Amino acid sequence: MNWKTIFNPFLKFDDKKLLVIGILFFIFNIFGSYYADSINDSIFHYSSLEENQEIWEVVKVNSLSYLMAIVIIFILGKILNGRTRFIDILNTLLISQIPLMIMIPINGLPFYKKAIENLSDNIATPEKIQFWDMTLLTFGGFISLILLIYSIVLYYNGFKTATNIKKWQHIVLFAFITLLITIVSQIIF
Amino acid sequence: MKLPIICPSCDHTLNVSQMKCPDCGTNVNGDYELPVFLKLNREEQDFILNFFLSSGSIKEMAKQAELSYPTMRNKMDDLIQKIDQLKK
Repeated sequence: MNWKTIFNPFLKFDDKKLLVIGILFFIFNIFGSYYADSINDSIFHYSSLEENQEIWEVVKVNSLSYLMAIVIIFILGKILNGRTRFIDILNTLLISQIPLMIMIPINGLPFYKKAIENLSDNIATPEKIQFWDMTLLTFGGFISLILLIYSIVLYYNGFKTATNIKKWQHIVLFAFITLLITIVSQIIF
Repeated sequence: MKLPIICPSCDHTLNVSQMKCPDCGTNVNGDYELPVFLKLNREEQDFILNFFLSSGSIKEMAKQAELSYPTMRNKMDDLIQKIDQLKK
């Protein structure tokens, strides 16, 4: 596996293999989100799960937010290139979110949650913030940022491979629609 | 030996000006335009040949080249676009 494949697995891997991996991670994400008291209320975004909510709420919100994004991105793909296949868009959405799915359960680890709590409690009195908590959260934030960038790269490359878009106007439209989906999805769910 | 199809001086597509019978040595001179297939580079010609040999199956070609279906289909679409431009 070379760098090109790491940043664009859609170039090389069979669509069925990608779909199986995507579905497995989607299921893993439901348990990961629940463990971290989060819900995937839009692509590229997690919100806190309200207290006393069951795993079925995570299943519902995660599924609906993905479904909404998949349908809209597929319609956009069809408009830009009539030969766009549903499975390629489905794989783009599922595979591109894997880096974030890996990160979210880490946020649910007890020592990480404790560090967030400590930081929130002492936000008004910075001198009381522990060096270890600050280091841990800075490191966690840095890793999250890298994974988010990687996720966006996968998302863009997946859509580009699925639709064969080249014009900058199409790329801008794709970015705009994606932004719109994330905002609307977070409002609805 | 590789058939030159692009002018090294101005990058325009070359025409054929002379053909020779390898048997009797007869020369034919003229100004013949290359067929569209020969205006493509070697890689593109191989792509079309492989497409023909795979009975027109992009899926089969993708499998042989160890690439995904959309990657192969995109190559095909780009080639169709290039040929459309060459035919104009």
